[in-house]
Amino acid sequence: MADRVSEKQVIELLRQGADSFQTTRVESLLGWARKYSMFLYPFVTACCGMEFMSTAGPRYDIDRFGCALPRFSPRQADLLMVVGTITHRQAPILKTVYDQMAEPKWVMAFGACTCSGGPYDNYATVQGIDTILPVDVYVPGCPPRPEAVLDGLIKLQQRIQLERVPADGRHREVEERETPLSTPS
Amino acid sequence: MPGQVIRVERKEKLGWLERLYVPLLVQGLVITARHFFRNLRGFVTGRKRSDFVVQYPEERVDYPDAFRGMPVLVALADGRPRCVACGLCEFACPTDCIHIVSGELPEAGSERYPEIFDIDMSRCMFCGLCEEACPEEAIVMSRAVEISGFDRASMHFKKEQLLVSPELVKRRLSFLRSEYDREDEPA
Repeated sequence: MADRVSEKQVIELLRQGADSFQTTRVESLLGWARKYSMFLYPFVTACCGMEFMSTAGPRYDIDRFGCALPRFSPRQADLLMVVGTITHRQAPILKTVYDQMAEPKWVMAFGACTCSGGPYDNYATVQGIDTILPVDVYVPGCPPRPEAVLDGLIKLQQRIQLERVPADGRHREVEERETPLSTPS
Repeated sequence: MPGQVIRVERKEKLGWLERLYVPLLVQGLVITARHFFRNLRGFVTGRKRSDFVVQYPEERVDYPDAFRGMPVLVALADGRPRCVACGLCEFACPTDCIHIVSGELPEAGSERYPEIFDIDMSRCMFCGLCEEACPEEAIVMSRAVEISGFDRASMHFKKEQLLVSPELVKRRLSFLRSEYDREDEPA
């Protein structure tokens, strides 16, 4: 129905980048291994947590995508799922959790509040977690259906498969994508 | 009606079969194995399975008619939106995610139409108030839920992306007419 070119463009850009570098079989093997063995860190703050449980539960079973084991330690986690409203008071905690995660790491914005602030367009709420951390995939919805979450996860896995390891081992352009923490003044 | 008290007789004494422990262990394993082999057969032959899991990208559940997914614009037969840009949905929207700029159609006796009709899906909370406010049945909640993307701009839907034919939202339209006691077609 809705023809969205943007994510196709992103995948195409990643693919072009892959062609211009020296690509190896090891990198695609790494991508394959990474995308099917993600440990997730559910940063659950609000009502979207119910839908996260529904996605993780047996009916939709996020384990089928190799993304099952919730690690409640950021050191052991690969995928930070930010589930629920992030207030400005909560934002430094989220930022600390993100900084404590070891590379490679990915972030999923789960629900309307994390994508854009959602219905809470006020002084207390962070207007989208991409103002404090780099987000890899956005799953809007209030809360999103499990299908939407799994769809976002599949898109993230496509993206991980196409990621290439840069020479210095860093996985993202930190200067470009990270923005300073915004606090209410 | 007051609630009835039901007395349940709970079996507390174990029989000799239960006290042996091993037969019941085997019984449980048999049940698990039966489910395993039935599902395995179902997966291989494509027949009925007894498992509970929705194998999402391949199969999905049918949402009820009252389900509210992504709001879409209903198109007329000539491809224009049915919307007359009255702005009621924009006003009703609790998250201010709808943005309308109205224009004028000179050939149809200066009829109003939306020049721009944007919905920011990253803000939308799928409450359905726009649909309830709409006097023309022009904006309805569809079943589409997969709107995830790699950036926020990809969740900003334009008028052209939101237009669907009424055939696609037929079930929702008939649900709305029964829900709000409406006529078959809006005036």
